[in-house]
Amino acid sequence: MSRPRRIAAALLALALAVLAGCGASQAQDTRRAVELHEAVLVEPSGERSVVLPDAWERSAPARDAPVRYRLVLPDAALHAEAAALYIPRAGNALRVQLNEQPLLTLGVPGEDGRWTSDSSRVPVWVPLPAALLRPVGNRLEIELWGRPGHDAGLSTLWVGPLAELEPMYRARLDHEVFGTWVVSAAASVMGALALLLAARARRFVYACFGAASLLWAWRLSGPPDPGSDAWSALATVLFHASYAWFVVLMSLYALAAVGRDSAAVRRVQAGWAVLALVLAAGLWALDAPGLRTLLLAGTLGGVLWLFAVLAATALRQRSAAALLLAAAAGISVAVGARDFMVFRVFYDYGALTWSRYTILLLLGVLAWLLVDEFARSAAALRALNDELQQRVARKEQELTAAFALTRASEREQAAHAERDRILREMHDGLGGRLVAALALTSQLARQASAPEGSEEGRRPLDEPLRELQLTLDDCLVELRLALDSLEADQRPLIEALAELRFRVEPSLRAAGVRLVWEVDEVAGERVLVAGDTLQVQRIVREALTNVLKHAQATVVWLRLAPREDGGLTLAVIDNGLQQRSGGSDAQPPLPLFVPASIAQGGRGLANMQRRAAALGARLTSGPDPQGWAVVLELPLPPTGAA
Amino acid sequence: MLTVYLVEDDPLVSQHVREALNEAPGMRCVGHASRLATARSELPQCRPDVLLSDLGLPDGDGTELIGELSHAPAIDGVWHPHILVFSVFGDETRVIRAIEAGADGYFLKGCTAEELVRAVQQAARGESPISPGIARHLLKRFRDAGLAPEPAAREAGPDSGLAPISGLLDLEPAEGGGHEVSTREHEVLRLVAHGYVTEEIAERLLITPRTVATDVRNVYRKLQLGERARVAEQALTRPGWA
Repeated sequence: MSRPRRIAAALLALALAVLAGCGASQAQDTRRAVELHEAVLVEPSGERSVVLPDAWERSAPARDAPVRYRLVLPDAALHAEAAALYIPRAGNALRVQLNEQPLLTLGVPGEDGRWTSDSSRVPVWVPLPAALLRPVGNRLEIELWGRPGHDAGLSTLWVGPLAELEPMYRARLDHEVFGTWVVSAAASVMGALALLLAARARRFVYACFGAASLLWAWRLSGPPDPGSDAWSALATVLFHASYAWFVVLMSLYALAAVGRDSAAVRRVQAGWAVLALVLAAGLWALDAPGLRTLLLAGTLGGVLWLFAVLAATALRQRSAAALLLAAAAGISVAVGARDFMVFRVFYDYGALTWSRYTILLLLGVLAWLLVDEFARSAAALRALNDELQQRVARKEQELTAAFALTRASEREQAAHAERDRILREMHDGLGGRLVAALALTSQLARQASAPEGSEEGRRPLDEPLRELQLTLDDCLVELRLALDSLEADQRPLIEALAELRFRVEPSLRAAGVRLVWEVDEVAGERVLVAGDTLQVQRIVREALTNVLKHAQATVVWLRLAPREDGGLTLAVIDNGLQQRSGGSDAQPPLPLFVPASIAQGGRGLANMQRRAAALGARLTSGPDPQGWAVVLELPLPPTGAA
Repeated sequence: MLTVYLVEDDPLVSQHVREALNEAPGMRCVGHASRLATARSELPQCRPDVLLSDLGLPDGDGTELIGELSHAPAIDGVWHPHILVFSVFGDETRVIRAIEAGADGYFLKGCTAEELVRAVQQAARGESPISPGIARHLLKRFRDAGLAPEPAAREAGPDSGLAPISGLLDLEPAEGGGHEVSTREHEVLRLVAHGYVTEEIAERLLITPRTVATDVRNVYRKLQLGERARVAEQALTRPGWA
């Protein structure tokens, strides 16, 4: 893990730079300005000498009346050039007099005892008018008002050349005003953002961070004005508790961020928060600075404990988050300890607090963690997206494969059905005819080998021979028609009939039968389903075969005409015999195992009826003015089929 | 005397055909082969008027022989037989391929002796037999190739893109390099496909049956020309054939 190490190094460098800057500010010994450390304190009870800074919290926690500080200004610091007085901190209100001449009044409570502002929050800057200065023995008198529990007191004073003191004043002002403003603004913005994030993402840790940031931003505005109403009291209590609460909230955030939070930890933190509130209330009620020290010490202890936990976690996890948070906590401990020493042990009234800037560190860590988390979740999202896409692609492939499989099986089924149909055709048509032919040959063989005198031997051979020839011819035509029906593209009815005519015309001519072709061309354009077309061909063919076999006709008409109901009428009419014997008695005797339908060539009327029924058509056969007619009435085509 | 040469590998059929031909007056079978190789060597000597050829032979497809005969220059400038293809089923694809190769028509195996003799006589006269199935295939093929006369074009007059094909133009070689079927040829094909026999077509179109048969022969010729043009075109576009 090189990244956490780099970050830690950067933080260390930053801390060193800050320390170096502090050292540099104290290394000025060539200045002519003088820092005054001693004053005479004038109280109603008398006068005594005091050492500045004088924090009332330590020297007189319960003092509620104004006192005067009297100082003698060193002449050397005053007369070289324009001089000024710079008081880093004085509060809660003051009035400044030079040689009994009033110079400045700040936040002095009115006659009714109301406080207008707290002067301890801004440095005091007083240019000393040359007209008021005496050549020697200039006396400065500062009258100071303070309220218990509101950080009253007086820091050291600076007197000297205006040009020399002004930068110091400006720097202090920047820290007190501008620095506070910047930190407060940053903390507010980040706090609001964190709260928004917590609300949107339903993440408790961000709520902790947001609340802590906003609390800190509020705390930076300084202790509440020293008023006397209930709100002022509440605000004062909250102010004192806020530091502890801030640490509690930040601890919760940091521990959750590194996955070290637990119910027990939360309980302890909540307990400490309540205790802090109690201590703060006690501090307000009792004006006991010891309670405040306790509160701050407890808070510092909390930060120390947090640092220990985070450091241990960082050592174990070696994660950037833990390292950063541990570093931030470590710096906070150092800064808190420094502030604690300065304010609670040495009571340096004029010192600057560093703790307020630790929030910037935390804000930076949070920002970094947020960015990190965002980047991580974006990457995770991308990975998820990629995986999803891959899965979709995989599914798509599977679907395509399944679809192809289905299509293949459908094709297979279709091929199967087609094969079944062909087999059936072969069996019903060709098979039957071949069996009949076989039967004829055996009959012929029997007749040929019969003794001369027997009944069998007397029968002529011509008849069965002609029959055999017809049957074999029939077989060939049957086979050709079956092959024709294998044509892939569908044909109009007229073309199917044309094929049929082409196949049977030679047989008809050989038998001396003339076929008259009366096909309505429009009606003939009708396209039937392939199987139906074949059925129609078969019916017509059987009708024509019957004519050849039994009718002794010379002319046969084939008529195709539309009917008024949209159907078609197909008729085979011949001018032959009106009495049809059915041909059964003309048939030669056959072996017993040959079924009657096959024996008759499957050419009976029943066979045609069966085929017509399969078409949904009506077939009639009977005498006609011209001779004999077989009429097939084809139904209306189903809608959309035409 | 009409001379016929037979290429057929089935001895029974071969015998039947030869007998039928020899029994017919004015016709004689001058030779027969059961293999393509035999036919190739004997044909230039026999120089028959009509060649009857089966398609499936032991040493190859009859179409090859037909192609060789049609594409070779006529021997001595005079001899070129009329070629009929023998087929059991008359399946369109094979027959049309044979016609493209140069056959003048086909007839079905299993027909009677009289029909066979009549087919040979017709072929010798330059008439070609056709079936509805083949007519249908030809119609489709000419339609797909854009060579069929559009019914609209016939009425639209000279302004339409296609030249109007009138009775007068029918006497001239058709336009488009002679690959285009004329209106009457188209009509003949259509009627054949619809089941009409030669005599009926002649009646309907007010022409003689022989004209119908020569129309069919012309359609076959155009098919052959188109095929040759296509082959030549392919040969030209083939790489390495500059």
